[in-house]
This record gives sequence, C-alpha cells and structure tokens, in this order.
Amino acid sequence: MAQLELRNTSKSYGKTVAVKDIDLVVEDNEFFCIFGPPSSGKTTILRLLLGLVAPDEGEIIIGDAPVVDQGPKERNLAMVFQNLALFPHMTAGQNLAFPLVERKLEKAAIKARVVEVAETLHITPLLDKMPAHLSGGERQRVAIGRALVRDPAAFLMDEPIAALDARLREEMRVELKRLQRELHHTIVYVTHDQEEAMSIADRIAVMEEGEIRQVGTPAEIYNLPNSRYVAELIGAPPMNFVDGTLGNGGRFEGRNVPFSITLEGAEWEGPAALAVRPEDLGIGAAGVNGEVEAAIYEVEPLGAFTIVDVSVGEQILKVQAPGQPQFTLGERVSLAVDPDRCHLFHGETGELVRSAR
Amino acid sequence: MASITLASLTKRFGDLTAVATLDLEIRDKEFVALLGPSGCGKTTTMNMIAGIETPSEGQILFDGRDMRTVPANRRKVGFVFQNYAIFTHLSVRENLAFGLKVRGVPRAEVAQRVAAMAQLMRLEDRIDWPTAKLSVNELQKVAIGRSAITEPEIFLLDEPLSNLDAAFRAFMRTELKHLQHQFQQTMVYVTHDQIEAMSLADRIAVMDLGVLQQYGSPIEVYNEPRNVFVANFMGSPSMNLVPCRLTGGDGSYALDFGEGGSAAVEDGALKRRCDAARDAGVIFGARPEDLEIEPTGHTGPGIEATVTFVEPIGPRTIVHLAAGERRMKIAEGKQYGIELGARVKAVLPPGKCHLFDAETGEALGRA
Repeated sequence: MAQLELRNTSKSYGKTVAVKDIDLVVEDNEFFCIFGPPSSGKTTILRLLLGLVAPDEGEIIIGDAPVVDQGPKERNLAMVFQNLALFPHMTAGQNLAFPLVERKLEKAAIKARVVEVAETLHITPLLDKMPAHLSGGERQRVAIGRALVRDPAAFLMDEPIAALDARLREEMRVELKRLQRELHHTIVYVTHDQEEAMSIADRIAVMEEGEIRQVGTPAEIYNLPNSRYVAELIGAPPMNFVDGTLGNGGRFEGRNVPFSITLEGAEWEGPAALAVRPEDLGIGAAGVNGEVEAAIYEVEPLGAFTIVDVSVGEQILKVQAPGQPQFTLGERVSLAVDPDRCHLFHGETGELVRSAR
Repeated sequence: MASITLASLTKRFGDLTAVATLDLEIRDKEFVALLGPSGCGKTTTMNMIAGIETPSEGQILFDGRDMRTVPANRRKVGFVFQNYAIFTHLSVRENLAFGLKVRGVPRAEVAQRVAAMAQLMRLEDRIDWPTAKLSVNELQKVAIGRSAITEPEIFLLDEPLSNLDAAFRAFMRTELKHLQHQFQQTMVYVTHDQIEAMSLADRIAVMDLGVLQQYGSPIEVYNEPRNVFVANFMGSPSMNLVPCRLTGGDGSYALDFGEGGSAAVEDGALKRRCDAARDAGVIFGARPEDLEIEPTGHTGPGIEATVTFVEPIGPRTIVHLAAGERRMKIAEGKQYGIELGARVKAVLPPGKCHLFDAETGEALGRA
C-alpha cells in the first residue's frame, strides 16, 4: 500500500472554492478520516485523489509519484461510496469478480482471489445470493469486497456506512478497522459523523469551508481542539461554551452569566469563550477553584450516564454525570469546574487562547 | 385533563398486522415515547390516536371518552412531524399566530402569546423573517412553536428531531422536555432513537413488529429489560448478550461460557435468576459499563477473553472482547490504555447481571 499526499492543492468550481491550500500526508497503512459538515470539501479531496477532478493548483502524490497527469485507472485507487452500486442481476460472487473480469485476469486466478476476499470479509455463504436477497450490511460488505479484490494502492471511502442503521454502523466500523489492520491498507475515509471518526481513525482532519482546521489523533482532537470550531464539532453531548471576558491574572467573567473562574496560565486579556466538556463538570461536589451556582433545569437519564441540564443565570449548561443520579427540578446546586479541564478561545476569532492541561 | 387509554388496539393493513392488541395507559400530563425500529407500529399507533387512521379493532379513549366517532380535527390534538409543515410564504410571526387566528383568538392575545412563544423557542430575533430564509434547525423550532401555541391538551410528535444536526438535537431535547414541563400537556413522542426516548420520556413503550415489548420509566426499561429485544435495543453500546450454559442446580450454579471459562454464581440476584431457568440454554446479559476488566487469574466470577478492538469515543473508551465466538464490549473511561490481543477477565458485576431464556428471549427471575 502507499502513502498519499496533497501539496498546496486547491480546487474551485467557478467562483465556489471547494478546497484551498490543502497540505495533507496520509501515511502508508494509515486509517485517515476526513471529517466536517456538509460542503466543507471532504468529498472534493477524495475526487482529487481519485483523479475524477484535476486540481487548479498544487500536487498530488501517490507513493513517490506525482499523479496529476494520470487518469483514475492508472492511479489504482479503489473507491467505496455510500450508495453501494452492486449489479442487481449478478450474484454477490459475480459482483466481487467483476473488477477482475474487467481486467481480463485468468478464471482460476479470479476465483482464488474472490474466495480469499470473501473469507476475509466473512461473506463466503453469501457468494451465490443475489443483491436483492442480502441485508443492507451484507450488501455493504460485498461492495467493500469488490473494492478489495483489486489490491489497490489505497482505499477511498465516502460515507460508506452512513445509510445503515445505528447498530449495523457500530458493527461495520469495527469490521472496517479490523480489515485495515489485518490487511495493512491505507484508507482515506470521509464522514460527517464525529463518533465514527473518533472510533475508526488513526488520525482525523477536521475541515471547514474547504480548509483543514486541525489534524490529529482522535484523542488530540478531542482533548486539545485548536479552535472553537473544532471544539463545537467534536463530542456528544456537545461542549459547553460560556462567552465572557478574560481579565487580569487569568480571571474569566461570563458575560450576562454569573460564571467566574480563575485560569492559571491565561496571559491574554480580552473577549473570550470558556469551553468545558459535559463530563468535566461536576454537580454538588466542592469545586477545585471557582464554584458556580446553578439550578437543575432538566434531567436526561441515559442509563450508563445522565445528562443533567443546569441553568446558570439564563444559560443552560450540560453536565454528564456517571450512573443514574437523582435530582429535583429547580434544585439549587453548585457546579464544580476544574480550571485544568477548561479551554479558552478568542471571543472573536475562535482561536485557542489557552488549552486544558 | 387528557389521559389516553388504548384498549386492545389493533390495526391491520391487508395481511399485515401493524399494531397487535395494544393496551396502553397514558396519564394526564405524561410524556410517553413510542420507541422501536422501523415497522414496529409506533407511527401507526400515533396516527390512530390523532384520528388519521381508523383502528381495525379496539378502543381509544381520551379521559375515558371513546374517540371512535370524533374526527381528527375535533380531538384537540397538536401534531408535529419530522418534515415540519410550515407556511413558507408567511413570516415566523404569521406562522406562530396562524393556529390562534383560525380559532378566533382576540388580536391582542394573539400578539402576546406569539411573543411569549417566540421567547420560549428563542426565535425573537427571527420573528419577522420569512420562513424561507430559516435554517433547518429554526424551521423545526417554528413547527413545534406553532403547534404548541394553541395549547392542545394532547401533543403528538413524530420524529421531530431526526433531521437536525447532532448538537442542535441535544439542545432541542432539553428544550422540548422543558416545554412540556411548562405547558403540562400530555405528550406522545414517536422515535426510533433510544437516546431521545430515554432522555425525554416519563415512560417508554418499546415496540417491535406491532407488539408492545415493555412499558416503563426509562430507568426501569434500561435496568430491568423484560426480554432480549428490549435489552438489546436500549443503551449504546447495547447490553452484552452472551449465550451460555447453566450448570449445577439446587442453589449452586455456574455459567459455562465455553472458551471463556466458567463463572460460579455467588451473587444473590443472579442466583434467583438461575432458579427460574427452566433448562440449561440461557443468555447472560450485562451492560458494558457494569462489567469490569481485570487481569486473568482474578478470583471473581467472570469470562476470560481477548481484547480485539479499542474505540476511544470522547469521554469513554469502548473495549471489545472475544472469548471464542462470544463477543463483549466494556465501557471504560477516557484514555483507557490496553493492548490489542491482551488476555483479560471480564468480571461480572454483582447485582447487575441478567439472564434470559435462550429460546423465548424472556428475562428469567426478574426481581
């Protein structure tokens, strides 16, 4: 398998900038996720790699070779789409064999390869079935298998499991990760689902309006987001933000919210947003530094944990408490805020001012 | 006052039974979620409550009064669908006011109630916008506000949040629940999303293939699932359901997990469940957050297994285990470190183990 690289690559469609100045290296054998909201440029990156569109500027390198002048076939990349296009009149096995038949391989070689791939994907019993008789998950496996038989330089996947139901998605992402690890594939995987990206990726690139905002491991992106934009997109329930002002000595005061806390190491002064994850807030327990008065607004018991919505002045903050604690609506509580778990973002630019420790 | 009683409610479409002899009591001011996968009969049930579908058999009572002869438009029911039905040629204000105007509410009162609803739904700064310019999130707020403003005694919602993005969905969940606490309507909420049902409802009716599987508070349904379907449907990741063999007898039992080894049953609650097992084919159940990962050789009862996959998902790390063909997931905290291929023991949590009949799927020995 091969390393993939975009160097200073831009692509516009008329006046619309699809991607801009993309510098990206996907390592050999890496599971790399491109994550972002709709129209942020994720799919354009795949199309550039695949050779379906040519960049306006910049280079694309597969392995060691620049490929901008090559067509999609020469690049030898395999693509799996969300809408898995299986041929309805062919069995699963014939679908798997198709890319090899098209390449005019010998019959025996094709058969051996199909059997091998079917075993890897645990779809051997399905080979004689027609696509109409397969479940959604089974069809997706066959579609992935069809990409796999060719032994491509890398796989590009565009929301390949987004159309499946929640349980099946959970199963398939484990399966994809297992395949990638066992077969040492390079995979570039586009998704808008942050949980999927966190679960499956070695590294994630977070996109905003055609540009990459942050690249890092799932833990880096989750624990050390470099901007308010990234912090907002990653995590469910979402991160809490309190808009306010950072003053002398790291003293943060909420704007129209009775929320104050001292953050050591925050040298800067000016408008800022304090950000803290729901699981990093505590209820009732004594704060390390800076207790905030709050009242119970709503309680959402989810079994393994409970989301407690508390009101601080007019603002609602979400607290994720472990287990199944009981609260009374309207009950006065104090919010424990650990300053080391708080991020600060610039109030205007959204850039990181001080990260959690 | 608006309680809803469904008595032996059945709906057939040709050969298909969409809802089968459903008995359900929804109390006045209660927030009830009808939860299940597609095709479970939840929307058909709601359409019958609304009067859009006619039951094949059975009764629907509002406050004890039979609704058979009452047409949909006279049931005093408010409706919000997944696809917000908004008048796109009207402003937010006009949309909110619409239901009150057609009811002949005096103008001053309309203005006052529209302002109050706009504030509640945080739409004040959009009030004179044409709805065509609103985002999907804002449209759904208008749709909910427009229905809520007429203060129907019964409020029916069909997957109202499923088109919204994840962060806004979390926000709207809280707001919907708060809205219901303020207006004290009877709410019936259709969803396929167990997180929504858990977080919003006072009680959840879990349905599958037209049949009610369980009806209880979110915590009851989560902690004491009545059968394998409910156990599997509630929670994410879902409950570990591990086939095993019950050995021993006369109050001294062990669960045989094949390659995963054998776990002696010492826990009193689990023992009572074993007492209820009619034969040896059982399914063991435990929530991912309740099992503990311990080193092999740990003396507690458990299942010996190999780590196959580690998923870091925000605040939690989901550790996948395999014991031969048997699979399990265990939820650990943030940045939990463990090697792929490591041998561990998944230790059973005292008081939190379930047993189901392997044939019927029914829970055994429920407390």
